[in-house]
Amino acid sequence: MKNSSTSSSERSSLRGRLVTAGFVLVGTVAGVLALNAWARPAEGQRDIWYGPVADYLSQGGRFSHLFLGTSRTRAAVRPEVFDSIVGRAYGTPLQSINLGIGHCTLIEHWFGLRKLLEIDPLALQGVVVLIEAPAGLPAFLGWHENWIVQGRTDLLTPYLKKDDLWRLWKVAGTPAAEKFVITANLVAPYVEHIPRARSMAMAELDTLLARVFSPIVGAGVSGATTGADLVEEGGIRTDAKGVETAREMAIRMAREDAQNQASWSNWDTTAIRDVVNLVREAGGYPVFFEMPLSDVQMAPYRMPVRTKDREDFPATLAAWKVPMLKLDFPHDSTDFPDLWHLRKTRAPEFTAALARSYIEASRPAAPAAQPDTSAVLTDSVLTGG
Amino acid sequence: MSFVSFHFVLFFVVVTTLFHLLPQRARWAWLIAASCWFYMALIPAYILILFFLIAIDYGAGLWIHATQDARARKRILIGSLIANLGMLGTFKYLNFLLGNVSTGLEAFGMGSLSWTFPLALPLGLSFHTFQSMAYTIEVYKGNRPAERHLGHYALYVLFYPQMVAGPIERPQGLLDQLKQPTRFSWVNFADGMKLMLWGLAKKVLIADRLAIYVNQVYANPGAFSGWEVALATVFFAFQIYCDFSGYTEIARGAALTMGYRLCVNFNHPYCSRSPAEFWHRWHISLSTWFRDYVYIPLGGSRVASWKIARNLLIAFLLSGLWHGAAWTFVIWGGLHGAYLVLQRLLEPSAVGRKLSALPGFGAFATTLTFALVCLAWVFFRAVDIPSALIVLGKIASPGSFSELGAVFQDSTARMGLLLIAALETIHWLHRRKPVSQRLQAFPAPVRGLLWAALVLLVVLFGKFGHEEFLYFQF
Repeated sequence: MKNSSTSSSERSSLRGRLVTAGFVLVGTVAGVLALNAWARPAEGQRDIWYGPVADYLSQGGRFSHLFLGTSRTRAAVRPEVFDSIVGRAYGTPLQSINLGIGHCTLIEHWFGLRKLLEIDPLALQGVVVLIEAPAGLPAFLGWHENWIVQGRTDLLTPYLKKDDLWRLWKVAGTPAAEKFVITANLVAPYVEHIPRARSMAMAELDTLLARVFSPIVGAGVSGATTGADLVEEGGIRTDAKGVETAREMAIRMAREDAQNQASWSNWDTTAIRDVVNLVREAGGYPVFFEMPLSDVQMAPYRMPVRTKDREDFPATLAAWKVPMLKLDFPHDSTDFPDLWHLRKTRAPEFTAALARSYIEASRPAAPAAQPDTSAVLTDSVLTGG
Repeated sequence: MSFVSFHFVLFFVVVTTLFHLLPQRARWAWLIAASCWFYMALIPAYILILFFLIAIDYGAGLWIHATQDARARKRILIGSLIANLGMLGTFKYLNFLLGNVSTGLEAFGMGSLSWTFPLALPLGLSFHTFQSMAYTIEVYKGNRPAERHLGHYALYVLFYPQMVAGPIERPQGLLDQLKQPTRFSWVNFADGMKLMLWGLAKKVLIADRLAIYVNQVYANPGAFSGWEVALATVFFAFQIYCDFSGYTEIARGAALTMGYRLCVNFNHPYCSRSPAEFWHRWHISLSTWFRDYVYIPLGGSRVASWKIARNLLIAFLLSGLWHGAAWTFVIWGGLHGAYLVLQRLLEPSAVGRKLSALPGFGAFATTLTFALVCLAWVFFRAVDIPSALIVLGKIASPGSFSELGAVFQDSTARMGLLLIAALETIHWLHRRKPVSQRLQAFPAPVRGLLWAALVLLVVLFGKFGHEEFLYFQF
């Protein structure tokens, strides 16, 4: 009798646990789906990077120049200024697009360009692709390294195809958890917006806490801005905390760079080589442009190993037949409020210097009558010949 | 391999599933292979150190057991302890020792030593050497027979859930369990998973979020106000608690899914009303190790008062040194030893008795104990003694109360306070009635949804990055 009641209670306990486990599973899956739906951006905002360019191409739009880089490029390059100066010099209207964005890598740019070429194989025909080179060196990034920055799976995912997954898992140095998220997004896009949901939830909680604490702290606790002279585009933050975080990160990363200075010697194995090849094979003209840096970020580039790399890189450029635009743009650290990005008020000046350098480099070119930009720039200049 | 990694998720699923599918006789071998894999994820060659210690202590145990002569038994034990402590000393304390000798020579104008050995500390060395020593000491004391099965003994040292950061198990606790057959139990599995989830939440929701503020302030304490430094110190108290107890709960949960019960290592330490009570609640497996193998052999509490004070100080100074090869850790241990000595002096006095009878004394004692523990944490967290002194100087002159408000302009400070409030609310509820019992009052679907809500909180607000568990460095 006793045994029978014990086993009956055990069975009931087991049943209870199985029901609990079932609801944990159902609750978690439902919660994740709900969060994903909550964070899903409006249709036109799902791919904020190459997406609008792809849409523009689909509608028959053309462009003459693309600027590839990070948020530094986004902050420093004003396409309208560039188009105005270069267009006036050659008497032809131009259409430049700034594809610089924060937390991106050149590998992601490669996939973005590939997406444009899938929409229109002639998308890069005659287009000049200007690639950011901080202190005269583009990012030294191999395919075996991390394809994304700081968990930003959302930037890469829209440009990957299922066929790329094998390469992602086999080659990339991206953390396995992030590979898993990317794979899940491609295979079943139910967790695609969870990173965005995390940011949104954190922001909501922070706003709520700011409201709770406002009687203690006083007004203006949340969203306090430094009035930082920075563009609010491409992920660049201008709020006080954002600027402070960026400064801390710049100092920390510069220190790490200074301590781990392996030579950047074999450029042919890097993603930048593949970007150059992709552009050229598509009929475009790759060009590097020197991006100025704050003193903090410049410090590792002034150390012996990187100085040698900078001295050696022109040989690579010559071999690749890609020009490097050197700029006459005096600057100091006060021009970089967060130590990363050029201040907004100096961006037109920088872009003008870039445009002048570009015109100088392509001086032998004859002005074209038609907006066919391939005619604006001679092959001899843009192939480094 | 970190518990908070995708690799561990895969590892855990494969290891636990196969463990239950394999026949009993093969399970120990499977767990040893898995544990080696787990350990070798960082520096593979260091597994040889573990094999060496396993061989030494396994052999020593058998030899002690087979030897009748008391002096010979003692010699074997000492030999085994020297091997363990020698390994620990070489990897953990050699450079510290050489650095101090060099400083001493410099102070006397005798030049300096330029010797340093680039030795990386093997993962969890302090934990498994102490666990190994516990085995040989217990065999020596006759509390358990020597283990004859090398595989079972090796698994006792290598058992992956607790090999790198404890709890430091005694052979009577873990080794005897590893020898017993286990059956899959839904109850154990579900309870283990809950423990793991709770530990993960403590780590990624609380500890790693608090770490943002703590790291920022302690990197350059001179640049922050006294209130900010004080808040960072309180945050660190909770960071290290959630980090370490979170690790322990993941370890206990992982073991429980296979049917093994590891010891409880933390029991709401910050509700302690005295430093002695704190050490009954904090890192229990280490404090009982020092009690049983250092404090009691020195005479414990059954000797003259000054000797008790000496014994306490020795045990706590060693405990400090166990945590790290730096003077900051020694001071941390010394402070805790001093607190216990003071407590022993004050407690029996007439003043002490009168004080403890006053209304509200409990809250006062808890606050005072927490403040004393935080004071010691300053030395534990600071990078060196001058930094710790800067922190203490800042805390001593925090500034006006109007400046306190400014501290919460920082969103990480606001978030930290919310997290601590949430944690302490759960602890407060738990102390009145265990949370597991409270949950039982709800229908099964509600319980399931509450656990799902915790999973979603981890997904939404967990900080996933490269914050390693703090206690891996020991």
